[in-house]
Amino acid sequence: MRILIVDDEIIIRALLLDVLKSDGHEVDAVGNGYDALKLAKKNDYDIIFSDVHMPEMNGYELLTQIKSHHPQMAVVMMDSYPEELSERCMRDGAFHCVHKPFDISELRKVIKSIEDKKHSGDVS
Amino acid sequence: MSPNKKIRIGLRLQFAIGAVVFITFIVISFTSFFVATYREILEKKLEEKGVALTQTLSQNSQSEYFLWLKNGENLKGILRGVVGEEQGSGEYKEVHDLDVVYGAFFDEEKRPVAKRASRSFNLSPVRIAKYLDKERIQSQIIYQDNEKLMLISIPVTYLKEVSSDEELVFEDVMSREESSERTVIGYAVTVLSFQNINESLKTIKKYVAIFLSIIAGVSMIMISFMVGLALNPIKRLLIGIKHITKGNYGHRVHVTRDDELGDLAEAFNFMASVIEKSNRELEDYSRELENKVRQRTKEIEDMQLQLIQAGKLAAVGELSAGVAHELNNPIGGILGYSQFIVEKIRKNPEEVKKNIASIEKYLSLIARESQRCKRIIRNLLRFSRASKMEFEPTDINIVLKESVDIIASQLETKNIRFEMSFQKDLPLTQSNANQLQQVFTNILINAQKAIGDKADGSIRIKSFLRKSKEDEQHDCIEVFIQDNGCGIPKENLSKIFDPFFTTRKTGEGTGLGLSLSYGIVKDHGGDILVESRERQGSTFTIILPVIDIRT
Repeated sequence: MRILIVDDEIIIRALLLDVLKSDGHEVDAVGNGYDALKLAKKNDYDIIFSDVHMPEMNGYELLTQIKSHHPQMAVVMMDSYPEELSERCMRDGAFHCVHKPFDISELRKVIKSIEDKKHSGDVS
Repeated sequence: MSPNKKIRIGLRLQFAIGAVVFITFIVISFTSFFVATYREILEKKLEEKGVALTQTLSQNSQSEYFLWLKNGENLKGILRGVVGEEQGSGEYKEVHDLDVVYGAFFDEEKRPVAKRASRSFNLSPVRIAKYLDKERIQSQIIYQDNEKLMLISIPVTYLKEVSSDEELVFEDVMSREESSERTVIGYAVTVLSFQNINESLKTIKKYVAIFLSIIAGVSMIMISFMVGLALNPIKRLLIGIKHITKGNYGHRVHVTRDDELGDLAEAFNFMASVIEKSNRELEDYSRELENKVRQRTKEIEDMQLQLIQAGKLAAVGELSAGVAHELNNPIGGILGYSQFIVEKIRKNPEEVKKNIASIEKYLSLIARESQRCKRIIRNLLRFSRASKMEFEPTDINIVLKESVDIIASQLETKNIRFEMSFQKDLPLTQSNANQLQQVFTNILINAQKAIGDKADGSIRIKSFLRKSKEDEQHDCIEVFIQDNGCGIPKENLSKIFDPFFTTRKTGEGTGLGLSLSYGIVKDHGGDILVESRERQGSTFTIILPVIDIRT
């Protein structure tokens, strides 16, 4: 799977890079929304993991932009504010929401379900 | 009493001087009148006596009629008994107290027949002759060398119808009507001195002067005494007023007089008692008020301590979301990496052994992030700790940095640029770091809220030392916290430090933050100033006096 990580926190980017690469995915990581949009335009990602609270462009804006340009792309939002996140992400078309701090198994589960859906041709 | 040292003439002296002037005037007027009258009487008497003496002379000379025809030798003998040192003897005894300076007989042609002068009587007979009158007794005031003298002349007559030589009838020219029948054969003249009168008047004047002095002295003493007596109550009143002025309201004036001064003293005492009473009431009121103030102050202090704590808790609540985010990132890292390592070890321990360097890298990342969590928690704990009003030497820059750390995550996530310029080598100042941290954090939270979702939001924090021109004791540390957020509407500017004033929705803010901050800064002897423009941002200036650690 081709995965893009968007988070201003280095530790989260590093963790996701280490874990997902060792799982055999093709992973890119950026620190802000603009870089994410650039990469998304260039590469055809299967999944984008994005943080919500980021400088300059926050996760919601990124989600909206990605969805308008790449409606087929699965976007998974990550944040520390559970209730706020779930509501808004799902409304704006996120595939799933992950609450920080998360277990890496949870991430794997999400990736697995996207993989499954992709194979069945039902990814939104 | 009087501020300038002018010579003061008291009432007492004024009265005494007035009285003396008045008495002197009265006595002098009276004396003048008396002396004048007395002089007149004495002069009259002198004249009468002089006339009597001269008449005697005249009569005596009449008997010596024939002597007239010869020469004046015998007449001289008569004069001898009147004028000079032998006077006062014989038939002139009755007029012996007269000072006769000149005696003479003139013939009918007014030529001197016989004369006798005492002292230095030097009027010429020709001049005296002018005063002689055939018809009547003359008494004239004449002057010799400014000395006043009395000249008396009596015509000496001789009755022609004489029956016999033995029975010559001599009669007083004054008692006879038909003087025409008589022949004037000459004049008897005496000149009297007023010296005796003058001397006796001088004596009288001397006595009057002594009397006057005694009267003046006595009256002065009496008046002075009486005025003093009258002034005494006034003096006591004056002392009383001084006592009252000094606050000795219990003072009373003792004047037992049944007059206006007594009334005055009574009125004064009444006034003093009224003042004393109202003063006592005032003292009671002020004591009561003081107690109330003390009690209220304590209540307010207690309340403020509670408020500070409540405000802190509220701020902790506001912060918690940010703190959660702040903590969740490192915890996410720690959790993820530790799960990852465990996974690796379980799956393929051999591989792990080979690639131990990557494991070491993960573990050090875990350690680093744990440290970060520790730091965040420490700051949070310090912030929420119950405040003690303990002041200790504090570096304001450190307090500012820690405050910024607490809300840093929110600032970053909200896309807020953050500029700090701290003056190096700020002096340490006596303050309560916890409380100041609360102040800075409150203002930073407000700044962040004011910026909201606005793009290119920034908060500038600046600290610097404002040196006093006078002395080091008045140096101040100034902290600027400037945002470019929504600003504060003019109508709210005056209220932002009021407790429970908030523009946020219920549940989002307590409205305590700034009021507590204000109280804290005031406790530090400082001040908070705010400048704000709507849609342009606000600047909070916290001024803290540098309190010398040594003191």
